[in-house]
Amino acid sequence: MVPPSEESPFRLLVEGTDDCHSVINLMKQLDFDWDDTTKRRPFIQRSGGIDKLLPAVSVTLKGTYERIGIIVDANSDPGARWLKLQHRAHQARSSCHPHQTPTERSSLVVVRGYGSASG
Amino acid sequence: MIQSLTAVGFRCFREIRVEPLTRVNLFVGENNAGKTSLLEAVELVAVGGVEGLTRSAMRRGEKILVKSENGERFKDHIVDLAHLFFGHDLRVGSFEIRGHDQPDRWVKCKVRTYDTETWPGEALFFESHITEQQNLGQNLTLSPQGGVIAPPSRSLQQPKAKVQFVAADSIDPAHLDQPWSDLVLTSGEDEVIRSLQVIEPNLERLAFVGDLGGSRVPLVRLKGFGQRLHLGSLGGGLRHFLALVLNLLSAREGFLLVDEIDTGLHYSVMVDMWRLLAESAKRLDVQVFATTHSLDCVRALARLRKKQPEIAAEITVHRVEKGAQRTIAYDADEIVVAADSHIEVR
Repeated sequence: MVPPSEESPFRLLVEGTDDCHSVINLMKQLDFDWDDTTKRRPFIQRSGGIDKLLPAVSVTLKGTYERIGIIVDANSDPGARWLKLQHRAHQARSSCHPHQTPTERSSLVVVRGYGSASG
Repeated sequence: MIQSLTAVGFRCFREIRVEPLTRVNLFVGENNAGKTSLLEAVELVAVGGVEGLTRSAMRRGEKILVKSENGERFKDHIVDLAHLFFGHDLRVGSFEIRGHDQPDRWVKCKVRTYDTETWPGEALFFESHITEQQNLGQNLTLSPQGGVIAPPSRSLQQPKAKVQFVAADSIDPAHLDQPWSDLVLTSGEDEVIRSLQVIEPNLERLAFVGDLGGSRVPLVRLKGFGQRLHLGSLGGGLRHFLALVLNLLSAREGFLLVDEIDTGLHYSVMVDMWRLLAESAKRLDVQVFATTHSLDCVRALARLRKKQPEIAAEITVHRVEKGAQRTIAYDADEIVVAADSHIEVR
């Protein structure tokens, strides 16, 4: 498989390699053809753990990506993780003009085993 | 130091706000987003007066085109200030730029129509409030085509305010002679040579040499090389770097504005360039504003932040987006996160 380009307008943030493989296999199950390079495929950014993923959330949201997905594990205190993600999203939003808010774009946050929200 | 900047009706900006501004500021964004225009907005509130008003138009070659029986020709001494106004039409609007400093700096400009004996017709009404000077209202005569007579070029080359602009495409080595002469036989001379060695480690000496025609050209001597060489023969990057260093040293307690700061520079020297710029800017109390399209240039900031965090602490990257009312700012730590996570900030 030719991996999606870093320049893809779609970006998915995950914690680690396992999450990356899970997503790719799940999407394949749903008939998404990862080998079709003509498709807009998300660049999957493996952050190396929640502590590195969280700072990347606000910086990614301030970027020019069309769609952003975030997947985090719910293996310890998912409520607290959710609040931390909200805080990072708020940080990014406060540095943008209302016409440029990240919520204008499609974004999806999934806390594995906990729930999901989109905006 | 300017903490934030707002521009309304200026060049391509209906309205824009840039904050926070720090010691070193790098503007990134697509072509025609307004990066150079932001440098010019800073220049206007930094220089002030008629000189500040006309500097960018002179540099861009925005002159009045006059029709005559022999065809059309540009009037060299009359600048077309219409391009400073949003929509390129000075008769339909006004512009205002504010730099939040201690005290605040601002410039306002619009066309007024008078019907008096002393001033019949239109004039460009201009006000500015700059730290060292106040101009509480001045009318500038407009030519029939809407141009304004530019101040003498000498005053543009040696401005009172320490505001140095390094343009991307118009570095004439002859213009570097004066700032170099100001440093000869001072510690600044050694500093320039040390800085140039970032690009050319074998460079030992630099001198401007005159010919019988009165022009002076920069020559250099390289270690282990008998002949003296023309600076230009060593590549555009070295000339650009010389312009950068000389203008930085000349901008003490002022402002350095650099369009396309990475011009001619290989990615491997960019960390050293930022280190030099950030260290010197702090030491000389210079606020730096620059533009780039180069990802290498942005990522070099991240590498500097990792290697020497205290030096890169006061660096901010601002993305300028077409039509947006605010720039998006990334502080030094966010620049590192973006580089590590391959996140596009430009």
